[in-house]
Amino acid sequence: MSVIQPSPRSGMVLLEVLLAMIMMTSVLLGCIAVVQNFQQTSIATSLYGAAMNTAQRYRSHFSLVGKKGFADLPIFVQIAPNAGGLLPPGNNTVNLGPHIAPHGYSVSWHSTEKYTQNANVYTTAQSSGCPYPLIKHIDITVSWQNLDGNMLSYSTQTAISHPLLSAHPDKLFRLDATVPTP
Amino acid sequence: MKYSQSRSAGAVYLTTIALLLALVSVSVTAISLYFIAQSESLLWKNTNTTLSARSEVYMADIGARLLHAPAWDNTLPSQVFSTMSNVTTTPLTGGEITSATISRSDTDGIFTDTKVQSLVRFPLLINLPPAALVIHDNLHPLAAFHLYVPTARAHPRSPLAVWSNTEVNLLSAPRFTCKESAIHPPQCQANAVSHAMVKKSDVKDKDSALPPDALTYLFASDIGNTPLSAFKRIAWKKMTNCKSLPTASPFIWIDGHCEITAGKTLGSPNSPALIIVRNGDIQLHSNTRMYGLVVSYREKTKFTQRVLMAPDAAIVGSLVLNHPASADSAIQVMYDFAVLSTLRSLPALQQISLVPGSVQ
Repeated sequence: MSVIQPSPRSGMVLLEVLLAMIMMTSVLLGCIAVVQNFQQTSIATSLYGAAMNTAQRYRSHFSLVGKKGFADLPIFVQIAPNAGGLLPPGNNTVNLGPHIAPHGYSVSWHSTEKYTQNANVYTTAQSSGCPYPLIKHIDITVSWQNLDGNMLSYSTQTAISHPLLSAHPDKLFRLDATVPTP
Repeated sequence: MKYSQSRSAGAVYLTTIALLLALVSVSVTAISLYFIAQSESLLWKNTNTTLSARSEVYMADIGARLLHAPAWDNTLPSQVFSTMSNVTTTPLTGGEITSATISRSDTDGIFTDTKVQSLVRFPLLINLPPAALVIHDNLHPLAAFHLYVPTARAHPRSPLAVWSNTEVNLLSAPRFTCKESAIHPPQCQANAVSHAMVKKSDVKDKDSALPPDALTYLFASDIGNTPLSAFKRIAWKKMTNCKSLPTASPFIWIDGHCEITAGKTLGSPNSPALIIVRNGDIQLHSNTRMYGLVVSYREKTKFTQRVLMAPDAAIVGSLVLNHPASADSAIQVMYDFAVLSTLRSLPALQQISLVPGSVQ
């Protein structure tokens, strides 16, 4: 009569397989959680980055106004508290690449006019000061909805100077240069 | 023996799993670091942008404060003066050029943003007229004038009564220049320097050095093609007539006729004005004065503009015409270099330029 002896390896193998399965399952679940988290972080980062770039685009646009001297005066004058310029407030759809659907951003900007009297700055024209604003302070806000449906916003600022503050340097060479022929 | 073989096999499996786990951990860590780096990069970019935006706003604020400041010295607000260095002043004929370096540092976390730029402030009036009457056109043959250029008030380098790029005929109408220091036509005629019979060196006509365009001469408007409308936008007072003229304003723009009733005075020797009358007559009634530089400018019209002054009325400073004036015009100007210098130096009539290449 032969007795079948249990193999000393069979118990160990089973234990190892169980251990391995538990560990692999944990690792797999962990990996899935991490990947999901990374994906959300990646999307959130992309959305934030796109908001920054959108705000930056507006900021660059405004910061160039007035840099061409008097040629920019009509644009400078046009910029009212919430209108004017070539980039009006509104909605922008930004393409974020192949893995994220195009996202909508709402851009608003507000201009605050600054007036001077001597070397002081005021928000309204002073009786004996300069009657027109020398600076237009622009606050730019970009709002968007994140994946959870919450509204987020990014703000930046810039200032536009009156063209009198960026006169063409060539004018310096013309100072007192036109004189009567002796 | 079998037992030790099975233990060895188990160890191999465990080691393999441990290595796989280590590999997964390393991969996860690497990916985590990648995403953290991306977020950090975005945060850094954000900080950098915020600092840059703050500097931009600050520099604009400083520039605006400096444009109309009476002087670039310690009378400035401390937050402005503390940013300035290398302040230098260069004299001009009846004005000055001031330059300074503005620097500012701002720190946020590990970032420090430093902005440096040099500014130059100089007069809006690029050239100061050296003559009582500057004509950029053929003066109507019948238009009369009395031009007073007292030696003490004359331009220091080019003391002229008339400067024109076309011929000025003194025979065709009562036209006199003199050195009298009071507005009195008979006395000016009696002591005339130039008159119908003689044209002295105080009448500089047919001079090609005078540009055909008055704006080019006065403001160098050809640089950047500045239109006339731009000067209207920077005027401190805009009017359509002179019925309610302000007693003092550095820059007055009038679209239309400017008639000043008897006894009125516009400006003063200490607060003269730059007055541009566009497409309109200038009429000064008895005993009136206009202190400063008056520009009678005709734009895109062939209408004749009259410049008519009572015998005891006058412009004290200089008059610039870009048109012939009407046949019944009677011009009286008392040249005053001090008044024009004060005008040119007014803080309200300055402009600022960024020194190319100075922005860091």
